[in-house]
Amino acid sequence: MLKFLAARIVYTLAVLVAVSALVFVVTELLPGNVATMILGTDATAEDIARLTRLMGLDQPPAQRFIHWLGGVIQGDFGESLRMQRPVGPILAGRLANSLVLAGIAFAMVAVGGLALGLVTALNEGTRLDRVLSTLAAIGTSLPEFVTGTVLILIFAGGLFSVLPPSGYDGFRDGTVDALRHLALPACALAVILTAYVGRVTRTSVIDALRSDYVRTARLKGLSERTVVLRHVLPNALVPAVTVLFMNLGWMFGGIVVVEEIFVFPGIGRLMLFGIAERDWPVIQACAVVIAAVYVFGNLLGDLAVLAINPRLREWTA
Amino acid sequence: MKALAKDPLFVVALAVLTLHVVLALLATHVAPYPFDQMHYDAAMKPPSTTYWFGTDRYGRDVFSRVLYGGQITLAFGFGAVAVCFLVGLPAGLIAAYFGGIVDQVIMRIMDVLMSFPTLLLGLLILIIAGPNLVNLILAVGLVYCPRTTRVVRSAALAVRQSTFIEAAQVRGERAPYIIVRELLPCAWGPIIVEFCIRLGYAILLGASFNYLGLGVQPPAADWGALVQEARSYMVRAPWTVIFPIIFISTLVASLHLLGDALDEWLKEGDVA
Amino acid sequence: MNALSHRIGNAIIILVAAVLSLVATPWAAAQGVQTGGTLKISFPGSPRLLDPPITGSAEEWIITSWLYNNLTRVDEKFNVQPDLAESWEPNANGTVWTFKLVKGVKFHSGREATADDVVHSINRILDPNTKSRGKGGLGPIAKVEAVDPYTVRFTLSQPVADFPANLALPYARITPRETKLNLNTQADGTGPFLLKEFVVGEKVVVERNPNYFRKGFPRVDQVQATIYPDSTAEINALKEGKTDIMWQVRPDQVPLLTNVGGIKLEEVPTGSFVPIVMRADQPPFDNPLVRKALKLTLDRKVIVENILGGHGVIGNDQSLPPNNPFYDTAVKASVRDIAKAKQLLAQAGYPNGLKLTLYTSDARVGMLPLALLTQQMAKEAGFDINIQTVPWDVFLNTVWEKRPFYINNWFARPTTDTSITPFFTTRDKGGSLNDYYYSNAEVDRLLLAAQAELNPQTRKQLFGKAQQIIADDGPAVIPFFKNNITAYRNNVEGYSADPGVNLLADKVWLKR
Repeated sequence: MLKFLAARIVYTLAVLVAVSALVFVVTELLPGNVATMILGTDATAEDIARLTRLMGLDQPPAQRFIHWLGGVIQGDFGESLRMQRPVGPILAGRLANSLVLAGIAFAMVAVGGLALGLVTALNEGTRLDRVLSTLAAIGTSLPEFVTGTVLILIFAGGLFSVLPPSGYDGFRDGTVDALRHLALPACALAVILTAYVGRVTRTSVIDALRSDYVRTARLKGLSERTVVLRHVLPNALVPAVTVLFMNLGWMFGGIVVVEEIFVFPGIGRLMLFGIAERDWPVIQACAVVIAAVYVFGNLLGDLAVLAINPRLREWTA
Repeated sequence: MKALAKDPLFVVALAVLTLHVVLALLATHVAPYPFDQMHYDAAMKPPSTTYWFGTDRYGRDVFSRVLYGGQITLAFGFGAVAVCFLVGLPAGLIAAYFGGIVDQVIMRIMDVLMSFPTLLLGLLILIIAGPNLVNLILAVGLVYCPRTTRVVRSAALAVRQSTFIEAAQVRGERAPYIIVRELLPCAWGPIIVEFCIRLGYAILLGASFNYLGLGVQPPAADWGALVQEARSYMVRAPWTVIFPIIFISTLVASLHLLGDALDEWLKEGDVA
Repeated sequence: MNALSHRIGNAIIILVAAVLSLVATPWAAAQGVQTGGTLKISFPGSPRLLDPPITGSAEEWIITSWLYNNLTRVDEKFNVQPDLAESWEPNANGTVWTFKLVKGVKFHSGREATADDVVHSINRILDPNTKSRGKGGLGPIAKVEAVDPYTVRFTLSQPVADFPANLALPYARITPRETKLNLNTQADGTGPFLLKEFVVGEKVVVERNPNYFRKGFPRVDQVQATIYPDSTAEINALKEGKTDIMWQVRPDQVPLLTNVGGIKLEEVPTGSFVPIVMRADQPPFDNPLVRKALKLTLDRKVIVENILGGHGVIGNDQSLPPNNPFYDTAVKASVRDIAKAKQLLAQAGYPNGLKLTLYTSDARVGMLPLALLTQQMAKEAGFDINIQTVPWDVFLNTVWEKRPFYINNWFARPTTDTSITPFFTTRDKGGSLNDYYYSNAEVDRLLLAAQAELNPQTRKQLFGKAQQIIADDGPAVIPFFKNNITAYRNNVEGYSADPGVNLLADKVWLKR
């Protein structure tokens, strides 16, 4: 158990270093001269040469990578080219916003997905099950930009104007205000995963319902309620919770699109800003942090499963 | 197959998919206007008999753009899945057949690829390679090939221990022959299911990249790019986004439902 | 003699204007101007450095204008107005300019601002070690000297008619000759406000200068400038009253602020433009017939409507904007004529049309839509245009000044001369921004003569002739000039949209 844990953590760290190297190489390959980018069309050749030296862009790449990685470990991601200030503090604020958004969406998925799975499984074969299951299948077919756009058209300016389509600005103006701004992006982020988790839960609950121990429990004359609560749920929840945790990291991919739709000041949009402006320190920092959240999310998923049932380790592969 | 034909979801899904493919193939004949033709005096007009799905800010016919967008969407969908299978099929079969160190090496490489969030890996590929249709296909294909490899591998593993494989080895057949002639034909069921599901996800991911502006470039547009283009005025002209949304949702849903139905059917076949 | 009487005339007009502006405003004050309160302004970008010679963004220029003064300033009609200089006079040929300073003006630190501070400030810009971008814009200054504490004399190596306007450039704000402060993060100016707080990327807070030399100004006690990199958040802040002024509104944001209770939208034409660049030294655009043909394919009214939502003015393919006093209204924009365009193309040797790649970027407003509209409009005349969209850095590195056919983006220039001469004179004769590689001896002659001409009438004729040639023969399609759009809350008074990069916070007051 401990050995597995240690191996898993070492593996996670190794992946992180590999990811950082990859990100650095990718941004090295970016076309275009950074100095020209900053100075714009009015710059002279001397200005550009001076800035290139100033920023250390004339140093060999390997040296710059080591320097950069050393900084990253200490939380120093360099200075943004467009915003002209350290990336670290900006990133921290944006990451906090994204984590709030992802956290709320995650809670929605957990409650909604498990409920959906239970309801459909316990009513297996009925019309309710067929309708909900088909909706879930369609739900897994809706990319975030579709869900987000539809939500805006319905709730934020199209049919109704009950929720703001953008403008999240933290909890400065109170919890209610913040939650109103978080509602639509969190829903857009949650729909596809809720459908997915619902489907997984349905399958595992049905499997559990058909298992020998449940049959035995029923033969013993226990009430259906007790059977479900005491025997079905604990067993069926294992794969459901596993899938849930494994997708904690996955959510951080979808968040990029959701933040773009709802103009949400999170890490995903910061990354898109970096891409649009070719602000490579920003791209590097965002990519590394998003990858780290993803990798740690998966680790958390592994550990959760391990805690529930060591035999299910295969699920995490 | 009989059971499948009776499944209404399967039939509807197959019909919707067929309709999408036919519309895309015949787009040049069906579309009333070229996809980039601007009607300056008819900008942002709601649906009418002249413009079935209305027009966008440049007065371009949304119906025509959606049809041509379908061509692009299907092109990158099928293209990306082709890349997935070009890598994943041989890799998965080889890993399953040889096992041991070969299996370990192949699957660990796939693990590393999978330790990136899909969207981030694709983004990075598209930033270096530059946004266009070919790179979009490569990026989506590469992002998803580890998943295809896994599915192929586990499908092949299931038949790997069968007696006829052993028999072929005893006969002295060479590995490539056994893989192609014995292993593959027996593992096709899950592979077809994977194809449908993967096509659906490839279209979702590709369209998301296009939505972020990292795919095909204007004036060309797939359904994701169509939604993106109209973002700033979609509340005033909802038809500019509703139709591309309907098209992409029905296409991907039909693929997922097809995959589900096939999967179910295959499992029942196992039981029988 | 004629020139001299003109100069005297100008000086009188300037003096009268100065007196009026000094007298008229306190008089208006009696009419109900309310003082006090905090004015909250939102900007899309952050100032980074506040040392005037090395500033470079609109936000930096606005903030430094609150903290410092120039010798002169240019008003919204491109007329030069006095600032720290109360009057000025050139010699007969415009090579020596003498400026008289207002007496008794004090820096925030308490010392009086004198001619030595002016000499110091100008020399800092001219010093190559300062690396000021304003060096080229000031003009060919050979020498600047203090004649007495309130008189400064500039000697130019060649005559420049716009010289007083050049001194209104944001780089040429007057800073104290000896200061222990780091002027990039702190300030010691003569301006209407004192710097209180400056957090890069977040906010700038300034407070009323009680000793400001213009009595009755500024009207508010404090100005808070907040940075909103996110335009939606910026709009919401204005709507919710968290800010009073949203300095810059993009055309596509206008519908979001129209008919919103408590908010006024205002716009004004500017000299900002998005040109289609046709390189004049390379085929096919080395042939003037091809250039003319492309100009004839565009329906400019549709373009202004479509790209700017009508928030702009039609352009006539030369870069002097219609709101400039030297703009020649006789020079008409090309009107769409496909038959004529086809005929010109055939005449140029392309009877079967012409295949071209047009480069653009979607990083700046209007560049991509203009490419799409051009592609469609030019198609009918036989131009088969393929559009390549590239990110902004790729644009700057591989497209700008290199490709034969692309779309560019320029912000308004501060003076008449710099609005046209650097773009269209031959590259080695002062055409520092001539990415068209255009070279026309007659245009060179006219523009360089206009640069030195002191007589406004003659100058207007020279500029007019140049505009006509550039519009007909020139290498640019300039289909429109953008409007500056601003939005503010109803209680804001004394504020209006500005055609340049100004936000005169000292004049603004808040109605309670």
